[in-house]
Amino acid sequence: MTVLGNKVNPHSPTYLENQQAMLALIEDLESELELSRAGGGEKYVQRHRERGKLLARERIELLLDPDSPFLELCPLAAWGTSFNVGASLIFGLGVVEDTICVISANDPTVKGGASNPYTMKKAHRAADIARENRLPLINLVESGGADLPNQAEIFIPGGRMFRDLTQLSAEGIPTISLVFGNSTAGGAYVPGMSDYIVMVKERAKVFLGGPPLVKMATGEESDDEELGGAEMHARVSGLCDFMAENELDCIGIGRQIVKRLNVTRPGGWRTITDKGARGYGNLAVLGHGSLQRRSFGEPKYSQHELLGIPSSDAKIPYDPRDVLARILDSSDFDEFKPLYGTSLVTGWGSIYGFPIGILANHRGVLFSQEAQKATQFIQLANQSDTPLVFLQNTTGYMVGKDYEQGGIIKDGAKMINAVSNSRVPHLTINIGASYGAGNYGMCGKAFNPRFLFAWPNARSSVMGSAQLAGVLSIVARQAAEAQGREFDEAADQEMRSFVEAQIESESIAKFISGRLYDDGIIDPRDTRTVLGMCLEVVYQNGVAGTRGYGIYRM
Amino acid sequence: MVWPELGVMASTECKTNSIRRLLVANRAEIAERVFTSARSLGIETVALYSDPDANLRYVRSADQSIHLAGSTPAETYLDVNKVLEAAVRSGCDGIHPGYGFLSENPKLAQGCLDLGITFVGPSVESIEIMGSKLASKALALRHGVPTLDSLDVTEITSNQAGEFAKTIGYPVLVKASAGGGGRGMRIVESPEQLDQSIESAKREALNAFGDATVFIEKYVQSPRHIEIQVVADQHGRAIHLCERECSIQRRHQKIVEESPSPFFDKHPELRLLMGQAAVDLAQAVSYVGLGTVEFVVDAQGNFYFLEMNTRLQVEHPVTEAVLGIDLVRIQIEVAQNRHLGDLIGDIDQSGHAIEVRLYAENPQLDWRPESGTLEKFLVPGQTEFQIGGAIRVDSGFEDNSVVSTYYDSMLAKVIAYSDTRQNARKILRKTLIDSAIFGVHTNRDLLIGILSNSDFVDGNTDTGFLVRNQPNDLIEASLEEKWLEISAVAGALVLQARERENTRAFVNTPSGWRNSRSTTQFVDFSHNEEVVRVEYFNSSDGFRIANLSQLGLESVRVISSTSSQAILEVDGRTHRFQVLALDTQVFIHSTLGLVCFGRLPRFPAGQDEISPGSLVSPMPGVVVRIEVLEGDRVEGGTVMMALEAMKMEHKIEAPITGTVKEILVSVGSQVEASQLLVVVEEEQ
Repeated sequence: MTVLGNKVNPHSPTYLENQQAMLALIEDLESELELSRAGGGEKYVQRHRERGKLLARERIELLLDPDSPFLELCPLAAWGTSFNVGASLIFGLGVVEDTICVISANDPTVKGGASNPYTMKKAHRAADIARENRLPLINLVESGGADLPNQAEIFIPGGRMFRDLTQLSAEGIPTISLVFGNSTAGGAYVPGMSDYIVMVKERAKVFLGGPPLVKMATGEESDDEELGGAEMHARVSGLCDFMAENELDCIGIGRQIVKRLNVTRPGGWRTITDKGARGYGNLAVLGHGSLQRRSFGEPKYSQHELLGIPSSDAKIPYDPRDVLARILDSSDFDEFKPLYGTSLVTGWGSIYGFPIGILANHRGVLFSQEAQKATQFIQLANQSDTPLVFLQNTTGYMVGKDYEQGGIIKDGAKMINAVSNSRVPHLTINIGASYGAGNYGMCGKAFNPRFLFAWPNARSSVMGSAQLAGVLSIVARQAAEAQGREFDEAADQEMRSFVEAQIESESIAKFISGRLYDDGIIDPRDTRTVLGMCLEVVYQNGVAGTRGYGIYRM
Repeated sequence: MVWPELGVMASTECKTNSIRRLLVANRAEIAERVFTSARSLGIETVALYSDPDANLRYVRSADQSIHLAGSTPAETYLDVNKVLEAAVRSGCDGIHPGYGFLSENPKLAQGCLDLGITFVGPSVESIEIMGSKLASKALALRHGVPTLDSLDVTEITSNQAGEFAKTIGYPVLVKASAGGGGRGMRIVESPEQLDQSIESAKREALNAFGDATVFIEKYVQSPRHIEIQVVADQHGRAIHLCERECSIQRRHQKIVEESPSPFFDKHPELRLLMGQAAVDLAQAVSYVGLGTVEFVVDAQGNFYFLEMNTRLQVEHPVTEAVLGIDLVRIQIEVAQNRHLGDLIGDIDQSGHAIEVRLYAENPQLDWRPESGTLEKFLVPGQTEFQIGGAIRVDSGFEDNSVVSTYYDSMLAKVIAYSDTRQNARKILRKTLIDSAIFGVHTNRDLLIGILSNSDFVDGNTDTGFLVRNQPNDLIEASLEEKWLEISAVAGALVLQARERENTRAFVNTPSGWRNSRSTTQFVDFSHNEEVVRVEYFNSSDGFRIANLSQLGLESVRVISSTSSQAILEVDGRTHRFQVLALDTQVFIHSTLGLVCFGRLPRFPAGQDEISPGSLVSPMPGVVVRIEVLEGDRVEGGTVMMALEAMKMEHKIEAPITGTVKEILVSVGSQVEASQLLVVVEEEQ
C-alpha cells in the first residue's frame, strides 16, 4: 500500500485559475444538459402533458428503484448538428428491482420521438452496452419511427436495431418493451423483437401501416385501435403480453417483469460457465449471489479539488497522480515501473473495492519506453483479470529522427496491439488531450473501451489545431517552393487561422460527444462515482483477460 | 361444579389460608403486577397463557406456567374449569383473578372453595350481590347510600319502560346488570330510541356476559366518576383508602385516573361522606378483600352509588402512589387471614398521582383497535417512587411483543406521582412525549392532548370530557404546527437510507445520484385522509428538500440520516427522529409527536381478485350477528352483519342495493382485517 501524497495547493494562483476555467466549462456543460432535458421545448412538453402523459425522463425516474443512481449516457448526442441535443432518445444505466439495466426512452416531445441518424447511433450504443455487459435492455417506446426526410441516413443501417434485439435475446439477455404511444412502421419491430411487451391501454399503437397507408395499399377502411391498439394486441394478435391501464401501471408491470427475470448474480441470469473457465476474475470480491459490500476507504483528498488540477491551458501537462489521489480508494496507488518511461504512469489501485490497473499520461508524449511499459502492464492486467482504466492526456507518440530510428513505430505498435487484444474491460477518460495515435494507444473510441467519458476540458483530434494548421502551412510552403511560386503569406495566415478555428471547434468535448465518440462529458468531481458504477457494470459479465503467451518483457 | 377425579384438596395450610403457590388467572400486565407482590411475600407464582400469549413477558416471569389451549377468552381465561384444573395441576393453593375475565365470576370463587384453594377476593355471596347492579342498588338503598332511580326492564313491556323513562326524564341510561366496561350500555335521548336501545343493549349484554338483564336509570349529565377504594379483612374490619377520580372516559371506559380527585379540593367533606358510604356498603355484605365502590357525582356534589367492583381495579396504582402502600400485597395478606390493623397504619394521602391507559387503538378512526407486532415499546423514565416525581409503568409488553386481537388492547398503564397535581401531570405528559411506540398505532397523542387541555389542567373533568373535546382536536392542539410535515421529511430521508442500505446494485454510489438531473426523488405518505409528499434530491452539499414551500417550511438542513434515525434542522431548530419503517407503515417519533404514516404505493397495486359488491372486514374481530341470508334483497345501507372487535360492535352495511350472493362467514367466525365477508350482486 502506497498512499499518494498531496501536491495540490488550493490557494495557488494556478489552481484558482484552473478552477475558474473548469467551473465555466461545467456551467456550459450544465446548460447543454439543460437543453437536452428540455426535449422538444416548452410548447411540445406542455402538449404532451395535456394528453395526460408522463415525460420520457419521468417514465425513467419512476421505473428506477427509489434513490438508486442513474448514469445517463450520451446526453449531448447530436450536439452541433441541426438536430436537437440529445437526439430524441434518453438512455443510461439504472437499477430496476435491484438489477442493473440499460434503460432507453424515446422523447416524444421531439418530433414525436422520430429517429434521426444520431438517435439511431445512440440506440445502437445502448444495445452494445447491454450486450457487452449482459444487462437487460428496457425500451420505453413512443416514437413515430424514422424521421422521413433523413431516411437515407437511417433506413439501411437502422435495421441493426432489430437484429441487436433478437441477438441479445439469443444470448440470454432480456429485452423488454414498454409501449406508451406510437410505435409504428419500422418502429413496430422494437417491441416486436423484445422478450416482453407491455402496452398502455388506449395509448399504445403498434402497427406496420396506419389507416392512411392501409387505405392506400389495399383500400381497406380501418382505425388505429383495430390496427394496433393495446386491447387488440392483448386479446387478438397476442403481440402484447401485458395490457396496462395507464402509464404508471405500465411502469409498475415493467418493474414486476424485471423482478421475475431471476437475475440473481452479477454476470448473468444463467450460469456463465460457457464464458470461459476463468469466469469471474475476482470471486473474493464478488462473492456468490450478489455483489458483497466490500470495505474500502474513501480517497484522502477532496474530489472537489479535481476542479483546479487540470490545466486551463491544454499545452501544460499535469501529474495524473494528483487525480488518482482523489479517485482511488484510500488514495492508495501502487505504481508499476515508476522509474521507467516516466511520461506514462502505470499502477494498481481500486475504486469502491473493485481492483483496477491504471495507465495515465503524465507529460503528454509517449516515447518508446512508455509504449513498452504500457504493453507490459496491459499484459499483466490480463494475466490477473484486472480491468484497466486509461486516463488520456496525450499529444501522441514522439516524432523525430532519433525516435523513428529508435523504433517508435514498433513500440507504438506493440502498445496498440496490446490494447487491441486485451480482453479485460477498458474504461477510458479523456482528462485533457487525446491527439494522434496516442488516442489509439490510450484506448480511444475505435478500440472499444467498455465506457469512454471526457472531462469538459478535453480535446480530441489528429493533432493540436495550431500544429495542424502549421503543418498545412509548411506543406503549402513546400509545394510553392517546389513549383517555384511565390508563397502568399497573407493567404497562408488566413488559411491558418481558419483551419485552426475549425479544428479547435471539432476537437472540443461537446463536439466529440455530439458525434457519439464518447459516452458523455462528466464533471471531474463525479469521476470516482462514474468509474465505480462502470466497474460494477463491467463485472456483470465477469472479467477475464487474454491468455496464450507468457508476459513479454519489453 | 364436579371434580370427582380431583377430590378435595386437604391440607393443613388450607386452614390457616397461608398461600404457598399462587395461580394468577389472568394475563399480561396484571399478572406481572400480582407476581411482584406475591414474590415479596415469598409466594411461588404460576402463570396461565393462551396460544397467542405464549411469548408475552409475564409467562416468563412466573415460576411456572400452564398452557390453556385456544385463543379466544372463552376458550381460555374465561373457562372456569380449565383455570381450576390448571391450579390443581400446578399444585396451587391460591388463585388471584386479577381484573376482568373471571375476577367477578362467582363460579371461580365457588370452585376455589370446593377445592380448598384460597381465592384472593371476596366471598361468593358478595360477588353475586355486587355482580347484580339491581341487587346491589337495592342493598345500597337499604343502607342509606344514595342511588339513582332505576327499573329492571328484562321482564316488562316496552310501555312500562317508556312510562318509567318519562317519569325520571330523558335522557336515560339503559344498562346491563351484569359486567361492566360500558358494554351493554346505551344513552337514550328520546322516547323513539328507547325500544331499539333496550334491544341492542340486551343483545350486547348477552354476548358479553351471558346475561341479557338490562335496566333503565336516570342519566346524570356530565357527572364526575369518583370511586372509593375499600378493603376489609376476615375479622370484620373494613376501611376506605380514599378516592380515585376516573371521569375521563371514552365510551364508558376509563382512560385517565387520578387521586386525589380535584373535585374534592372544593368539597373535602365528600371524602368522608362517600368513604363512609362505601364502608357501610362493604360491611352490609360482610365484604372481604379489596373492592371499589363507584359513584357518579354531579356538579353540586350530590353523589349516587353506581356499582361495586369486587376485585382489584386497573387503576389501583394511583391509590398505591398517594398512600404509599402495596394494595395487591394487602389483598393477598387479607386472603391469608391477616388483620388489617397489622397491614395498614395511618392512612396518609399525600401528593398526587395520575394514571393514563395507553391503548393500541386509533382514536381518530372511531377508536379502532389496532393489532400487530410492537416493534419497539419504550416508555422511558421508569423509576422507583420517590417524592419529587416518579414514573411507574405497568405493562405486559416489550419490544417485539404481539398485540393480538383477542384481548383488551391496553398496552400499558403509565402512572406519574409527584407532590402536586400539576407536577404529576407535567411529568406524565413529558414521559408520554418521550415514549417511542412503533408497530401499532396508539392513543398516546390523545393522552398527551388530554393532559395538555386547559379543562384538565384546571381539574374540570367529567365524563363528557371526550364528547366536548373531540379526539382530533385534542390531538391537534397538543401538536406543534407542521409536525406532520417535518416528520414526513425525516421519514422520507430514513426510507432513502434504508433503500440504499438494502440495495444490491450500485451500493456505493451516492443516494439518488444523477449526472443530468431532471426531477427529484419523492415519497408519498398517508396520514388519516391526508397525503404528505416529500420531494428531495441529493446534491454535492447533501440532501435538499425540493418542495419546502408546499410543505410550509422555510428551511431544512439534513444533519444526518440513517435507516433508523434522522437529525434535521428545521427553520433553525434541530430535531432528532427515531424511525421504524415497515413495508406499508412508517413510525416516526420525535419530541414533535409520534406519527404513523402509511406508505402510498408508487404504482397501482396488482388488484387482488375481488368481485364488485364484495364486503371485507374493516378490522380483525368476531362475527356476532348475520342479519341476511343468501338470496336476500338488500337496500344500500342495510345492516347485514355485525363484527365484534375489542368490545365494540361494528356494523357491516350493504354498499349497494342488490342481492346477497354469497356469505362467506358464520356467527362466531374469527375474521382477519380485509377478509371477504359477503358478496352483494348489484341490481341491474
